[in-house]
Amino acid sequence: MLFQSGALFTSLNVFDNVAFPIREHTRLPESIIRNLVLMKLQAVGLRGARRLMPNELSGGMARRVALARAIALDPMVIMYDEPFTGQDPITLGVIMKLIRMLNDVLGLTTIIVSHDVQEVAAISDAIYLLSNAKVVAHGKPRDLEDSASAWVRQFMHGLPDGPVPFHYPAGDYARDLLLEAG
Amino acid sequence: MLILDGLQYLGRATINFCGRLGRGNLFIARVLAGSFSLIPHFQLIVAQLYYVGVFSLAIIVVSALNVGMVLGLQMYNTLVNFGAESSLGPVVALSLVRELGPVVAGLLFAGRAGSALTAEIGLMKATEQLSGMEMMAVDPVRRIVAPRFFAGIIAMPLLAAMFSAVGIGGAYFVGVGLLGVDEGAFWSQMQAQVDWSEDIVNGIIKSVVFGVVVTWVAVFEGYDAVPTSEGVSRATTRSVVYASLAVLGLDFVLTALMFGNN
Repeated sequence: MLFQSGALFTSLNVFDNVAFPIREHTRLPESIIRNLVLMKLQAVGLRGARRLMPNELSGGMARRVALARAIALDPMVIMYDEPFTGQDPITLGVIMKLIRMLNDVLGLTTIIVSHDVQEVAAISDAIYLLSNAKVVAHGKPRDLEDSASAWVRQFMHGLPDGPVPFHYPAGDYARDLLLEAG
Repeated sequence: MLILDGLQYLGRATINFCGRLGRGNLFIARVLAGSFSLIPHFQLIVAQLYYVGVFSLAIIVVSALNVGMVLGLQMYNTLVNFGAESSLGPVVALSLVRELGPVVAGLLFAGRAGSALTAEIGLMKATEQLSGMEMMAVDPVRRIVAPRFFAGIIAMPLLAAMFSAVGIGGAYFVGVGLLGVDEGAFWSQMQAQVDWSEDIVNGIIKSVVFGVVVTWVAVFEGYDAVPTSEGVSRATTRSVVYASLAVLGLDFVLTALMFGNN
């Protein structure tokens, strides 16, 4: 599981954060743990940052370390909570490729929860759109982009007008302002 | 209507109190159940012992020195009226070993180490570090809470013993060094009147009980905190208040049980 905040252990440095699940669940010697950790950190581009503490990392770097930690034990299923939020364009592209590559090479099942529709659509096999705790549409990315549903179209293309209102329901704006002034 | 509101408030407060008490007991049962798995990971307890014990030393030593010096001065001023200033040693030692050592060390421990434990665990919860651990199939109660709990239980009697020793040193400095009490009488009467099982062992038992209670309250409040900055702040305040009240309340009960028949 990759948390949106990264959820790194603040008392451990980057290396020990990634090594944590390996040390907890295996009895591998430290030399092998070191190599495994360096391989995972190399995959997310942070091998050189292994001695930094979490408070010395940017938000994007923290999430990349968390990704390295999430794949440390080569799991069968990985869940990502908003992996693309706050990433710079270069890192965003690398992370997208990495998620897809991990999925294909290691034969994983990957579940991504995200509001970044274009990025998710670019790497997903299937998308489920949720609203009010219900699945309102599902299918392949191409099918959803061409959907006849106004709701799905508004969401997939980020349109300001449509069935989903931008404003939370409220009374008349001008009247509200005048009442406040009075 | 006012009476009904009052009754509702009382009922809600009672239900909340009972709920928290129940959660606290279940929590400590989980901590104790996971304690055996800590045996191969004893270094986790040692690391926490450093944080809760060594980091509390400065405030314990400074407070003990001041308490001992004030106690020495006040006792001397009273005893000298009866020509019994040579009893300064046992009076100070008994006060410190039986009461002031465990109690004041317990209160300082609650303020220094207890608040730090609550804030640390609460912040780990607020920043999803505990959830992250669960997602890695690592039990946070075993990995985070249990080492801190046992470190607190070990640290508290050691800190209380140090408090008593430094306090006696402070009283010696004032009584013998500044006010001219006979050094031989100070130590020999202390040795003669302070009993190992009656006084010192009972003091150790008190400090162990205070260590269990203060650390239990601290780790539970942190683990049960609402995961927001305000929630952690409230939990830290509750931790210090509840632990301090528990130390003072339990001190009376333990004193009555240990010395009530004398």
